[in-house]
Amino acid sequence: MDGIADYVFLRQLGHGPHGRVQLARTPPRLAVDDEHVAVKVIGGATSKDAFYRVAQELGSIAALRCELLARIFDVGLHEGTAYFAMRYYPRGSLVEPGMQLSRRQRLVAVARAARAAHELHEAGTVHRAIKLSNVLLDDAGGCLSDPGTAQLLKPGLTVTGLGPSSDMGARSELEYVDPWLLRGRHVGRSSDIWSLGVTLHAALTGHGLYPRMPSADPLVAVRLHVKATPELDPDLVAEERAVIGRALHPERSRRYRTAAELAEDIEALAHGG
Amino acid sequence: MNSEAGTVEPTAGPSSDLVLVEVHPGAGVIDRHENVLLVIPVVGTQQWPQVKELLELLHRPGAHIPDAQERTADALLTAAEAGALPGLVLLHGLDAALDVRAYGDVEVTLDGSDQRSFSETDAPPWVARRVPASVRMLRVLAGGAAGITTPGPSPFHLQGGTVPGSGVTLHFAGLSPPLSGAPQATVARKAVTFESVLLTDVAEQCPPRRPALPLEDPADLPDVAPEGDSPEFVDGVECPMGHFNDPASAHCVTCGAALEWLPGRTVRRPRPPLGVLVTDTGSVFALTGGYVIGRAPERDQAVLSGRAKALVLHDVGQSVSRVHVQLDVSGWRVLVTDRGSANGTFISSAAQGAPWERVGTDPPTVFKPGARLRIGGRQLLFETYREEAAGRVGRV
Ligand SMILES: [Zn+2]
Repeated sequence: MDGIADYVFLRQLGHGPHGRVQLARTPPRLAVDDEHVAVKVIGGATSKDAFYRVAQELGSIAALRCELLARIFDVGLHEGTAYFAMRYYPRGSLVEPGMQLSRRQRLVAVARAARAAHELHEAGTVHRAIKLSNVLLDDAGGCLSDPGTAQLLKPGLTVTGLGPSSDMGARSELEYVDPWLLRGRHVGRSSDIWSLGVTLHAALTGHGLYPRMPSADPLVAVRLHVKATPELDPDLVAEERAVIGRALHPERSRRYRTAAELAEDIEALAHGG
Repeated sequence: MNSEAGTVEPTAGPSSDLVLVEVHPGAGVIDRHENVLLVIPVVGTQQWPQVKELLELLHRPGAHIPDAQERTADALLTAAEAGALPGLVLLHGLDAALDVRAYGDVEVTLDGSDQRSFSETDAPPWVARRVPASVRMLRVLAGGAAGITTPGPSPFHLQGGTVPGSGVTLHFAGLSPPLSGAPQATVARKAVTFESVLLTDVAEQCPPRRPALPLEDPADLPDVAPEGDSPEFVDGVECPMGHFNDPASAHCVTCGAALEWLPGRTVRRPRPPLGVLVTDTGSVFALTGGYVIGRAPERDQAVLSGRAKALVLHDVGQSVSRVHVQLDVSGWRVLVTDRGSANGTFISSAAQGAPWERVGTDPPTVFKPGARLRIGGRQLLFETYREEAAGRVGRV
């Protein structure tokens, strides 16, 4: 695909099971100064009803005007395919940073993502798609991008496939998903806090929590994943283990109560280490 | 839910039709607005006010509607004194059939052929032609131009706006986006129709703020039906921790504690999720209610009425019927019914190598945790992730 609506794609920025993100020139109608925008094309056909749900959800997020959240400019439907346009962050994400990052810079970025998640939670929204590739780098230290829309398009959906991910290596999207969701439980603050814990671990160590991720048959992979216990990198220091361990606690009620409390502890790690 | 709710037109992505526009360097004006391209190869010193006026007319909101545009441009051209307006070409309808209107001293060449070209200097105000669909290239230059001098690189794009130039060459067919090469070329996408909600200035139309998410997790609260599902109340038993369970279970789904079922100890509560459906590509769906499963289940009556959700399973060989199989949740049980699919639905209990049994249309078959469904070339697993011997496939 070379474009959608009045966006002409220049190159692909990334892709995952939820859709592809493309770099495009900013159409004049957006009336923003940015020369380029990142356009996410949502895979599969989208009905008008589903489109309005997505537009409403993204509109309520944009209305927060929160600088910790990547700006969303435009959401549209073109011949049955939905897309939304976001600010383009040339410095990239924590997966592919445009420059060498110090441990402190990585921690600050994750802490800001946690604060962003908290703002969403306080506004009644669950992000659902927090991961390393959605923590983008900006002048202020980082922001959270690309809120999950898949469940608005496919009612009941908890995990969208185990397809290729723009995230590190062969790591699956699966480990960012709170195992409780795989048992049919509902999303909430604690499921985003789980995802933040996995993101924090990956930001510190460069790898995931399930090194021996089973795979060939997704039916088996999901089953084994739910029964598996996350393994923290042995090189983490005690303070880091404590923060990640609390975010990933098997019992939801024993995790951080809010993403803001998690953010505080990550900030303490950033300033202590 | 209205009658259109949930309908989906399965369409391909947006058309990839592109018009490749080469802008030839020069001091004239090339302007793109909506689906209209204006080319003025040469502008005399005295003509700039008229050019400015014409551009303003074309850029006026609604001017892209062909009638309004023709009227305004006609009015301007008719009113203009001879010589006050430079020669110009309006290319209208980049989205469909292309109409060309030439005025004054300009030359339009089709497919590089002299015979098919037209220019007009004496019949005011317009020469109007529709460009045949077979045309692959159209070039606009000043009248009497000897040809294109070597085009230098042009930094301009024509998604919208005005750039300097002495003419354009449009290439219509068989071109891939030239973004990597040909720096003098630019892409003018055919004007498209799409729906858009601008979020750049939402403060004023700010939707009412939702209440904050609860601090207690849904898993720790008495189970509630998720948004959109009407809660069905079921009788169940509580484990020592207070988790709500199927009275037929031996162990708590949540904590694994042994359940002692005593008659009279049941409580009536909204039904919790019974588990998840896992597809063979790894998508996971919460089993909080019924599903209609197939290649295109969105228009099924059970989906339209809100009794079930649509679960789309694609399959290259179309071995999955549009509406293939239906899952209904009844009490603590999941029931599966084939919906008259072409290739049938088969069920296998969890045990490896367990035989596939055909699922009928009536009566429904009980779908037990750990069992798999074979739906054409696809598979679906009912998973609860509880430790429990998988039951035999049973009939109601
Ligand atoms: Zn229990």
